[in-house]
Amino acid sequence: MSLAYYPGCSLRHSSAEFDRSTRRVLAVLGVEYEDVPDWTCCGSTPAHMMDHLLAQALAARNLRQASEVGDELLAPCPSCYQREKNAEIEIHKSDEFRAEVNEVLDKPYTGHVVVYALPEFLIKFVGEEKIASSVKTDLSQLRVVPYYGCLLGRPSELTGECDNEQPMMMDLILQAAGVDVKWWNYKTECCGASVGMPKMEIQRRLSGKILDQALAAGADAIVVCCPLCHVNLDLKQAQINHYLGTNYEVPILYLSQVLGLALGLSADDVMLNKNVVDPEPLVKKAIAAAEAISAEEQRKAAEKAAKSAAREKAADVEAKS
Amino acid sequence: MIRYDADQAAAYRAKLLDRVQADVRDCYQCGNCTAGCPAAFTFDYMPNQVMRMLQVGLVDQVLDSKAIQLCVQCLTCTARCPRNIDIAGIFEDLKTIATAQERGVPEHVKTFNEAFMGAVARFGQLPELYMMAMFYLGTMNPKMAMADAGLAIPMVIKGKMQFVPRKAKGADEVSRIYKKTMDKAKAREKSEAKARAESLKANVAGGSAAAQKGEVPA
Repeated sequence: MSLAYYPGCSLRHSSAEFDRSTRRVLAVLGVEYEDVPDWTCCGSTPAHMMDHLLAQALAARNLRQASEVGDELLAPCPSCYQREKNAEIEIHKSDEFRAEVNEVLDKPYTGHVVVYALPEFLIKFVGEEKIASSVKTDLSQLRVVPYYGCLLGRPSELTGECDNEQPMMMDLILQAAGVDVKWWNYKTECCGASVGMPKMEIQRRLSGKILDQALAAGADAIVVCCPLCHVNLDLKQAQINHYLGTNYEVPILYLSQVLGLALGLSADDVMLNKNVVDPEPLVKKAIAAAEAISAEEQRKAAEKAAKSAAREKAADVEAKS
Repeated sequence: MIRYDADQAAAYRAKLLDRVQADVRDCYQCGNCTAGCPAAFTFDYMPNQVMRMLQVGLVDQVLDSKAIQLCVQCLTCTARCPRNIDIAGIFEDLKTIATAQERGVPEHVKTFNEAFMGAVARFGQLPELYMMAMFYLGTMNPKMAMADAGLAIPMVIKGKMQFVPRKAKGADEVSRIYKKTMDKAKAREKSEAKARAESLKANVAGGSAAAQKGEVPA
């Protein structure tokens, strides 16, 4: 399988840590890929808010570029993923629409590229068993809630999730990686990203609720898989606090960062230093706590073994005498 | 006085059926869309009200509304609609129609979309800082820029900012796609508006001719 990788605009700068950690995780899991040659912006929210054909044509251009590499496209950013997936479905379904799109492209798109988001790709092509068997660092003391946002779960017919309201792919991956995943009801609540700049009140209120609910669920951090959710919850956390009069300090980690740590990558490998709310103390504490617990368990097991050995010896002596 | 417009209602029902495969007539006003909408607190009309307005042909009010502009496209309404109406799809389509008809839409959504697409058309890949600068210039509202200026500090410290935008290789094609598709959409809306005005004129003329004959127009 030749996999094409579409980083997208956000992953170049504002979420460089998502890009780096995803690439590292793919390397550890032995997934080979090639970047889409000369990719351009997928159009994101503004394109499909302005014109349907514009949105589909911008996405189709990238599908055409990806078809030079192979028939599978991985788009870690869910916004890119939704745009590319939408175009894929509509273009592959109707030759008439494909012709309409090709009319505005410089070179026609004739391929059949299938688009995957990161959780979907990991579940389908790597699998939970492979992830679980590759775990190097014990993260069982890291309490998190997975936050899917809008684009990874909805609509489930498109994303391949089991349910609109309760997507599970990130839960399954994190559980396979040995992380303590908490159950909560805000998995798919919107963070307000698409009008975050023109109408910030929406973003402040929605993102504030998500932070509040994560803490209520007993989590110490939120795991996301979307650069826009990350900007809203992490970079804008100080603004949310200012607007709502709260003092949240919740680290927001990317799925690929947590997975990378579990697979034995270092904090530098997954660029924990790029997160605005510093996650390093929490991660260190969780790893140390897990180590202390396993050391304690080992000590207890050794003690138990010593005791039973002593008992056996005593029984032997008794039997002989 | 509110005037219901059966012609407009029929025209936009057909248009949405064709473009989104969603029938506004299916809506029976349960209000599930409004109950789940995270952005409805900023809307002038609730999502279920928009559906009713489309049913009775109050299309102009809908196209000029804040509601369709401030929709966050989270798709919760679509996922929860018991009649399987793609409500978010309808909102999206109405937004594109409002854009193509070059309406002066409320809020800064249009400014944002144009700043974003303008930047993408110029550079191929989105230069975030450049786009933000263009957006704040476009809003002519220094207060908004000041509210977000604080974000620049952590972004610079964390090395997440690209200061000088670079042109990607496919930028020219992107710019051509942007121009071609927007021109096409605008031309389509203009010709549709013209056709509608002509048929209205014909109706009025037909109506008055009928009235002269002493018949009541249907």
